Amino acid sequence: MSTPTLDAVASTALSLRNVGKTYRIEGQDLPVLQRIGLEIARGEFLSIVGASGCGKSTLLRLIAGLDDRFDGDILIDGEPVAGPGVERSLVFQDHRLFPWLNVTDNIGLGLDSLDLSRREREARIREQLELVGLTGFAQAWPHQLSGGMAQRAAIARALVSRPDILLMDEPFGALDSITRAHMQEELLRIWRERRITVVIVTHDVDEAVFLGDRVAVMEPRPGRVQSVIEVDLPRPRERTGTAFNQIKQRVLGQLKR
Amino acid sequence: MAEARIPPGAWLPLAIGAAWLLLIDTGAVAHPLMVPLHEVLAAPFVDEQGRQIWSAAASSLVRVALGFLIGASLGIAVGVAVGLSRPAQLAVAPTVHGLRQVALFAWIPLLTAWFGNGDLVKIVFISISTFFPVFLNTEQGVRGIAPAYREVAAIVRLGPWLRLRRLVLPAILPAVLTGVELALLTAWIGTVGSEYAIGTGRGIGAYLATARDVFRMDLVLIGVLVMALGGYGLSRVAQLLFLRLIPWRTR
Repeated sequence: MSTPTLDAVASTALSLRNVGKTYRIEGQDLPVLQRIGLEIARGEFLSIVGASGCGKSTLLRLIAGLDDRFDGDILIDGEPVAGPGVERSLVFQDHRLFPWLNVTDNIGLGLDSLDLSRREREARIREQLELVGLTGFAQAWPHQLSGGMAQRAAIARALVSRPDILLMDEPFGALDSITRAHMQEELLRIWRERRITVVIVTHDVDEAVFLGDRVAVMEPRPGRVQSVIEVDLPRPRERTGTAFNQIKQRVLGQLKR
Repeated sequence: MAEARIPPGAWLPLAIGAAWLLLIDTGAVAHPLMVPLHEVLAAPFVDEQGRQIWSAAASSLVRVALGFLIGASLGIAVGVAVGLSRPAQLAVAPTVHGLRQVALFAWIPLLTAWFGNGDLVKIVFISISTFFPVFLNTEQGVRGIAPAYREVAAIVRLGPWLRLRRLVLPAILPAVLTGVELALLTAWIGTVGSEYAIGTGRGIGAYLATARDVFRMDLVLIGVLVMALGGYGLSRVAQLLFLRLIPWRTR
């Protein structure tokens, strides 16, 4: 199976140029991100991996537009980010479904800012429910869903507005390993079908290598991109092969430095 | 099994009623202020003056409903505004929190001076007694909205109106209902209290005042009983609202 990157290398979806972020704590400047530079191609799947506290989640929040106090430039299709935009979506580590809305209306949140007809809205939500395998749960309340199902609903909420760039902040971190492996396969399927750009932040090296076209390794204090490792393995990938393990060892080696 | 159906909370009132019957209705204790229970319970049906309790209760209920609606609406509106907007908070919150320190019945001299001693002043008084608990709980509710949910609203780019409808109002509903439950109680106390304290007019409070003035202990007791039942009914209404309006709560 070919990867969508082959026909998309020409254009850059997302550029991070010299991005830095400093928190001011008790009068002291605490740098959390320093000189981050990344070019992410349209349709690429980029994994960002690093120990906790390396600023990877902060970086994702900057790209998502949740925090506009940073140095350097974040460009989407060449334009600087200004707050959250319809071309980007963010999946949080916890599902963050609104407990007072059923699954349909939670997914519908992603469409509320768009001026869609009722029919178009319903069709899009139905399509998402199908994509994430929640068709039978359209009317369920979030508290009736398992962790994996809730996270799928959250992914549907992020995808329903048809973003070009999907940002994911340790989206499967709270799931058990069986559900996680399954969700990773599902994510790859959605990525192939939608031909979107995905940036996923994780502390799981196996996950990063299994999913990404490239793996950006970050190191902490202050958070920097230490190296970017190409994962030129054919898809679908096996988690057990020698080649897979060699790349994993390379990433782990970078993390230990 | 028939005994098991009596709720535990009913035993105490039943015991008091039984003691009353045993001591007073039988004539064991005789005193002008001790009225037999059966006379008290019969008064709303057989006694000329006793029958007026029905219209008194009705006008109290209308009054509490009206005052409550005004006070609760204002409480929610101001609470949401103060909770959401920093300028509104800076401008309004100190005044409101200052006024809250004024004991409820201390308002009466001022209000009667402004609004006379008719219905208007009572409605205003009930509105005030409703406003504070609803306002305080609403404001707390808005502040308590999880930042995680606010970020979701930001990411999906909800405008101000949809933010209010999809996020703020449902998120604060449990807090608002807690305020409403409290406010129904204070509103009911405010209603009967204002009827009792302010001049003329109908209502349970006025009924009580008249009954005391003519030394009719049976009517005083009926008034107290109806007031207690009214308050109990209102808190049941609040609990039903909870169950109805918050279906997403896991219980």
